[in-house]
Amino acid sequence: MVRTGRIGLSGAVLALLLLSPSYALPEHARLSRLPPLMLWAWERPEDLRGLHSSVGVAFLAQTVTISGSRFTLQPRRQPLRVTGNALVAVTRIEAGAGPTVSLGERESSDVAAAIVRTASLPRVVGVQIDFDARASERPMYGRLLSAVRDRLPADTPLSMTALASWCQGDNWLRGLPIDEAVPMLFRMGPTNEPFRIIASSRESAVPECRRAIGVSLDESLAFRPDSRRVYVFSPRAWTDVAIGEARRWVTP
Amino acid sequence: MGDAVKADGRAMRRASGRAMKTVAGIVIAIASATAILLACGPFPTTLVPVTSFEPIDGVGYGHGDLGVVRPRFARRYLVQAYRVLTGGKPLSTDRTEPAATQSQFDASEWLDLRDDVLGGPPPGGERRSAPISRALGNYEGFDNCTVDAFGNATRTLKARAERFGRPSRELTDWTRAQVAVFQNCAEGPLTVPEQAPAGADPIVRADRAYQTAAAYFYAMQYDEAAGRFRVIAADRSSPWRAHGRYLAARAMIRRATVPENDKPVIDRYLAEAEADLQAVLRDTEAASIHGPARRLADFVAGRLHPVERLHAVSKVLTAAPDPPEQDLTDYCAMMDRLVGDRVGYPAASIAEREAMIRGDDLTDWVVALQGTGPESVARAIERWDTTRAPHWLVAVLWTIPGDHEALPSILDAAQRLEPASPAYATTAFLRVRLLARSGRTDEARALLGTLPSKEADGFSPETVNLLNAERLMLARNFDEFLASAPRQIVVSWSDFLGRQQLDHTGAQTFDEDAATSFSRRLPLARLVEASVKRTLPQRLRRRVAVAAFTRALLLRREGAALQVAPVLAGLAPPLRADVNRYLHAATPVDRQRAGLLLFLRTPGMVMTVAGPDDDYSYAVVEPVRKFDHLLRRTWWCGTETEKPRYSAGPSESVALLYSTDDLPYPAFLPQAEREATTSELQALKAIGPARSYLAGEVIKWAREKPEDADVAEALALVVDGWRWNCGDDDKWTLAREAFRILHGQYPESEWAKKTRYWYR
Repeated sequence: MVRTGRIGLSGAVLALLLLSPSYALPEHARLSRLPPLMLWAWERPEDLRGLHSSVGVAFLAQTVTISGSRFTLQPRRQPLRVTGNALVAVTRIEAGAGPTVSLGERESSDVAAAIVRTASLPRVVGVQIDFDARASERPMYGRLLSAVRDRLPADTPLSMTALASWCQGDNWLRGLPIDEAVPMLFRMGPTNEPFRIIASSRESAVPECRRAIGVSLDESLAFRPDSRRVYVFSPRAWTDVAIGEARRWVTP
Repeated sequence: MGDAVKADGRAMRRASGRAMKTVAGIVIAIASATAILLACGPFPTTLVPVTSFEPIDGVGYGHGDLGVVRPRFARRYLVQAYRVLTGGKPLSTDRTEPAATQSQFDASEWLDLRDDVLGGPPPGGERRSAPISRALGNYEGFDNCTVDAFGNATRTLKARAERFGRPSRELTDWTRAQVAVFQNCAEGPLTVPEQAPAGADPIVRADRAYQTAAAYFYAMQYDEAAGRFRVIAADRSSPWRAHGRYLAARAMIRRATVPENDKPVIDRYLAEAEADLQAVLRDTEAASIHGPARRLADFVAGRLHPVERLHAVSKVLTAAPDPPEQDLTDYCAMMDRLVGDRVGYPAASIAEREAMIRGDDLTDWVVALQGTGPESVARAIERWDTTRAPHWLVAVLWTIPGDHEALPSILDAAQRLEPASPAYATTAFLRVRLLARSGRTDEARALLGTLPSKEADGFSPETVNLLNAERLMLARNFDEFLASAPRQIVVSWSDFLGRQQLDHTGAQTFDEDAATSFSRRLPLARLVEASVKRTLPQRLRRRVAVAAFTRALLLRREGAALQVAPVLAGLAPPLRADVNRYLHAATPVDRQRAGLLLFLRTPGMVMTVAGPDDDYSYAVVEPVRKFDHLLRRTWWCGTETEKPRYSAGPSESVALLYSTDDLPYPAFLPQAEREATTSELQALKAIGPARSYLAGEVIKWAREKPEDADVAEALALVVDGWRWNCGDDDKWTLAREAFRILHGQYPESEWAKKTRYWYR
């Protein structure tokens, strides 16, 4: 009986650790819709009409501000001009530094609907959510991701940005219905160093974070794309020179 | 976590069910604990000795306690300084947010009243978070219906309920019409309210005309909307008459800016808006909206005539006893428009500089202070010569080069400034800086000798920190260097969260100047000397002693190690046993191995001196005796001899006093010691990262003297240390080799049992 009990517990733990969905994530075919290099187009006017078609643009489409159980939506306030590039519509979620926020079911559904609406914008092939959720906000975030995934077209990839710490040592991404988590290896201040290894070693990140990486043009970072999609942030409006720099990172 | 976890085959075969259960429990516990620890971030806050862009104490600054006024301050602080330096009333600013902003949008009162009148939500109006923004093309959108629109609708509904009764056909019709108006908030074609019935009450007809114009407005048909609002303005019977031209102006402002048009288009429509707004301001019957009309007129003026608007707010800010916060905000906005959102710029690069500074002393001063290049110097000197005013003296002292021919007379004038002057701390700091830059270092030191080295009246801890940075720069000997190295922590700053509550009052840290000097500009002998002397505060002295002992062991400088070891044991009692083992080792080889074991048991042994602190480094008792699973700052990665392992960014003290981030050697350091420093750093660099160096040494030890009782522990710590430290990523076979030796030679040791995995 004792032996059986031990085996049972060990088996359960192993099953938990090894067979949970995220550890068996399939390579989603829908991710193939995203180019290997994505430029983040954030809160400034961007004219990317000359951008090579092999490069994608992940643009801030809207900002959701949550306060308590309420939320407001602010659209992108700057023009983005593109021609034939694949786009990812990014929804930034702000929760402020106050008490933990938690949307009710109806509000969460409305936010999910707003995010899903961005998928129908012209040339958008994927959606991304950017939310630095606190630990106490993760259950709400998880439910929101599920609601978005449920409503998105089946072939539309769902991406999320991730604090670097979420990708090393933290296991909360496991089981989320996402196609990729993008570890943001910039603006980390003194905390960058411990997680720098993610840049050079794809395998050092948790599985959800192994398909993409987020870097910034103004922070030197030695990294190997290693089959990962590279999202590049620029602190200034994109120029031909900046785009050239970004492309060199992916194909030195 | 670490890389792929490999389990040794034999170890796994020996694993019992109980051990499996234990491992499982540990895995779950670690995972849970890590999830909590890494809840968000981590985001250390830097404990700063000198701020960059804002004064330390905003309240005190607002009351006239300026400290050292600096050109890199945001311009709102320069405006405050200007008032004080020119003898005006201090300007304390209230930076609280407006009561209601679009980000706190809440239309629930309107929605409740609407549903109450209509007996439920109208078709399509069920969702209480209906979009209120419209797309403009090119993925751009804007907030179309603002919080005020719903507030106005709510007030009007209540007024009409009072007038016509509840229920009443008039109220229901009005509410339905308003629902139609708000349908234009989001995407979709124009929705116009139904016409008022023939013979309806005049106020109903007036309301409907207003609602119809509003519908065109929200449907972005601005020309039509403006025309209808102007008609309303001409209708003396309409209760909305006073609002007509104001709303026409709003329509024209949107016509100009939504989306942003080319300048000629903007100017054309803003000019129309300006005319409407001037009409409102002349209309005494529209007095109730003169406030918002004035604010819109100011906005339009800022776009159409930025220089004139700049002068207008500048005049208020310099002359009014209590200028409104909005004028300060507008001044900064105008400067951003004309100069750019930057705090350092070539003065000659500002297109409208001449017009901006003509007759506007405040702007003249700000541009001279923040500007770079000969134009700024010349302007500051010219204005100083003309005015002899303290604020222009400050501008000259900030801009003038150390070799300028006018410098002696400027310094003479600065010397005569009364200590009671609000410019005194600034000029004192700058006099020292300029005396040093012009080669008059003895005079600079003499002046420093007259200035406080501790907080005093007019000299805040931050000002003293700046003076101590000058003292360190001008130190004639190592004792002076040590005396000026510690700085008081004055601000806790997070890149992510901004300024944090400071609970380190009175605590001291190294700034970048001292940290860099200890780490890369002083030889081991000086680090030993700093450890032995009692000049530094205990916490900082211990930090230097750790680096000294680490370097001594790595460089095999036994004499230095033996000198610093007792100091370290005294400053860090948990290390005492390991240090004593080192001190009392029988042979050099034993001593070297004792040193290895000390490193392995004390991952906080580092070769450089960190500064400034952050809340994490401040909280721990150095040197830490366990691996840092969170920030992984233990040991060294092999690059520390060239740049700091982690840094909060450029130090303001260094930026203000040195021409380069690459600090020079201390002036007192002889050439021989500079060369010794260089060769020591080269030797330390050659040793490489801690984890591969220690792994190599311990593997050699295990092979040479496997019977040593501590070998198993050393091997286990090498394996664990590989996981939590950095550098030489491609040498992971060292960790595997240590693991194999541990389990091969010491399979029954507690260390082998504890060490079940190795990590890449």
